[in-house]
Amino acid sequence: MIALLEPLARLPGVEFVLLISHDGVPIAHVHRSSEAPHEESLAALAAAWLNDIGQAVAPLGWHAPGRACLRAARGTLVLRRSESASLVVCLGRETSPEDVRLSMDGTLARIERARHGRAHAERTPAPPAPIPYRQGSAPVEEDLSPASRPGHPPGN
Amino acid sequence: MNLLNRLLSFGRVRRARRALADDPTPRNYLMLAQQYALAGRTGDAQRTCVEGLAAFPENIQLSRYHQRTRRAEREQRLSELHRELAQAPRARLWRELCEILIESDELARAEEELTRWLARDQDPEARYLLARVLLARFYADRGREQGRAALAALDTAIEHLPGDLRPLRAKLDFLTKLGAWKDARDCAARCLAAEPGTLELEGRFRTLSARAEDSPPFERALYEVERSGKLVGEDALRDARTSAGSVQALLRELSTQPDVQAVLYVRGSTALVQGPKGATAERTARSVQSILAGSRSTARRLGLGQVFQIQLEGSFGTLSIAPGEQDAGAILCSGPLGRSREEALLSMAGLNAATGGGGERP
Repeated sequence: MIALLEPLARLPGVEFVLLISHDGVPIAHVHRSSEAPHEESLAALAAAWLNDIGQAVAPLGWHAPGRACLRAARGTLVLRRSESASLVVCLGRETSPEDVRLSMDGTLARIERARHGRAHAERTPAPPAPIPYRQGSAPVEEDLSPASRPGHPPGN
Repeated sequence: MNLLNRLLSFGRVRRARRALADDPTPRNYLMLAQQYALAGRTGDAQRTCVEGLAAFPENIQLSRYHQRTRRAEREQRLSELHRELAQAPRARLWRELCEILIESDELARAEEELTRWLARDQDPEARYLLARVLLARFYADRGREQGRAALAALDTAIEHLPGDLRPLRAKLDFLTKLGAWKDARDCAARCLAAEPGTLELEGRFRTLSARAEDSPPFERALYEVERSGKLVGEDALRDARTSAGSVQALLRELSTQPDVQAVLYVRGSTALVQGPKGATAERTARSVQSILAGSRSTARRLGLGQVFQIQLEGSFGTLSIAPGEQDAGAILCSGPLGRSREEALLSMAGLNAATGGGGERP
């Protein structure tokens, strides 16, 4: 997961990249500066902010926003929400949220693809063995073809 | 800023200066100030804004940009002071930090710093600044509790700074604004004892003496202010602000654009809404106020400082909110916000415009 976040963290102006669950639990993080913010508190505050916004706009019949930016005097917080997680990026003072829009979208799409791929792999049963083999050591009568015995693969 | 950016910004500044020399319009002043700010020369940006405002005093965008550059400079200074205080705390730095925080109306942060300062070295200057914080809080809230706390803090500051006229003058202003004339007259007498022969103080003393006969006691005056929410002489100020201009024209202009669904201006618990009507307008305003409060709190907790812009994007479109010190502008559009609308929105915040008369949602 960190490998997916690293290209985003390498962009100029990006100070901290964090992937969080919707309930504010940090999943993975990457930071550039030596003085990293506390990822747990950042994750909790970012998730709480997004939930607050969701609640504030709910009376208008709106869904929670897919993207939220908070531009302040000492930096910018950008959140991008997907189906399963939220991507949080902290930017320096000189960086605009528009500078990381495409990269954030791309990173989140890759994360979602990776998640779907893994889930798909878990749902699919293991492929059959390339060469069928006989299970057990039941005696086989010489004059009966193997296909006529249910539960036993043909061949061998 | 790297060398390449510096070289590019140098060219852009030169072109903006030439454009301003050819055609000194508010837009060209603004462009030059923006280029200076982008190049990190906030002092030059401020000077350009001041020059532009001298030529075009009514221009809202220039005045707004001037405020923004000042705010940016102030935030920069605050972070420097925090860094210096962490390395070598001393009274001069605490004082500058707290004064900046009080002037920028960040009273909770100022109180926190002052408490820390007092716990460290019991400086009498910290007591005076704490009294100023409590006074500012009373002027904002006008509650009796805050008033009593402010008076107690002022008395403590006067006690700890016997030769200093500042806490005495602050107390005199406080009592005068309350309408507690008799107490104010006594305070003016103490001021005159500390600074005899000051013409302005003598004049105030005479005026207060003439009013002192039917003066309410301090507690009664405090109660009246809490009940009415008005300080003495405030009506005149309110009239002056109303005549300074209205934000409604700007709201109307923005709402006429085709993909704009709603434009709002929020100040305190009042909102002016253009676009939606009735209950929808009310709900939209409530949502904006709620987002604003939550975002300010989040920025404070994250240590991001003052919020300049909040932007939300979703299936509903784009909602952009630009908070000022006491007010905020918001715009909801179906497509992207765009540069010109963003600038108009930023110019709306910080107007501190009068919201009385014609608001959709009082």
